[in-house]
Amino acid sequence: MNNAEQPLIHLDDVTKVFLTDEIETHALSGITLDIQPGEYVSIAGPSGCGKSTLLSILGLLDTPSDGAYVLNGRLVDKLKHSERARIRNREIGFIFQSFNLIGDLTVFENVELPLTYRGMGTRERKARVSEALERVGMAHRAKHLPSQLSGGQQQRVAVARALGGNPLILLADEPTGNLDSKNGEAVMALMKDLHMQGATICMVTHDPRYAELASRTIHLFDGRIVEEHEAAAHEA
Amino acid sequence: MAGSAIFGANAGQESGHTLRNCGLSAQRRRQEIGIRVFLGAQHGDISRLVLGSGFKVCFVGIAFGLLLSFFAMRLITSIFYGVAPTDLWIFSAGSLPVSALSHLANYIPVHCAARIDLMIALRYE
Repeated sequence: MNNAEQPLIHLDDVTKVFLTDEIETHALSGITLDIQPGEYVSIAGPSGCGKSTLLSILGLLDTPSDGAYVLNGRLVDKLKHSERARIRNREIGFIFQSFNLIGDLTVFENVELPLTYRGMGTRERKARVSEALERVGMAHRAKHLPSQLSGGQQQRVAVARALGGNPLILLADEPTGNLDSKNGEAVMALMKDLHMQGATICMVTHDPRYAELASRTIHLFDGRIVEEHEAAAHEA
Repeated sequence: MAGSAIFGANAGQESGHTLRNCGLSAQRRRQEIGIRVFLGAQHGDISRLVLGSGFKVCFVGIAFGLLLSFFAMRLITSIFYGVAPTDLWIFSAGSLPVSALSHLANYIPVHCAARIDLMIALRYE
């Protein structure tokens, strides 16, 4: 169990190098980072600075070339594919820029999908899905297909899918990247509400307005952390 | 003989179509498979998904084909010497290879799906 002093996420000197046609690309260099339970952290920086690579490692989509990644007190950087999938399913909620909903499934089925792979019973699954859809204000669209929803609504469904399993942390990769400003602000307001309710959130964004909505902002440049600061007027 | 050749050619053509369609179907579903794997699906879950849908398509196709064959055989029964229009071997000879090829066509993409690159599949536009 996680105690008050142990961070939920701890990266220790993490490095990521991509090797393509004998050319090495150092996407991340010496990243050391802690995220405490209940924190809302944004990772900002220009295109190509390594933000999404960092989030991919945090979400167990990718593995670091060097360094250690400790999630909830457990070393996870060298796990097998199947074990990473299991941890992603149970402990991490991921929100993508492009929503990544499955078009042939209804809203309800999309949100239910990760719970199905957890082996959860039908009754509990349906209760959790209904609760998640209520939290994001999409319960009235449960039987619709993603193609019948606006971009903002699809992203809300994606947030519900990430929330449904009560993850330890929500990871968001440019959640407003494919949305207009109105829908983007609505999604950011939803993220803020979730944080106020106790969710731990780590969000990648290139938009400084949204980065400043978090309680702590980490700036990356050329794969390194160059600046870290607390929000000037973070609401408790 | 002419009838056997026509039948064989047809079976071969349909097998080819089945292979192509099943393979294309799995490729088109690469992003979906990537999403499912990311959300926690294990290899067995993906196998059941792809093989199950492929089997349904194959089953419907074979059932429809057998029904058509039953009526077609009655029309061309004079061509086949010593063979009854509803000879079980003739019907099996056509549908069994198609079924086997369909399952093979589904298995190969499933095998590849287990090695899907999530980073690429999840960023597919």
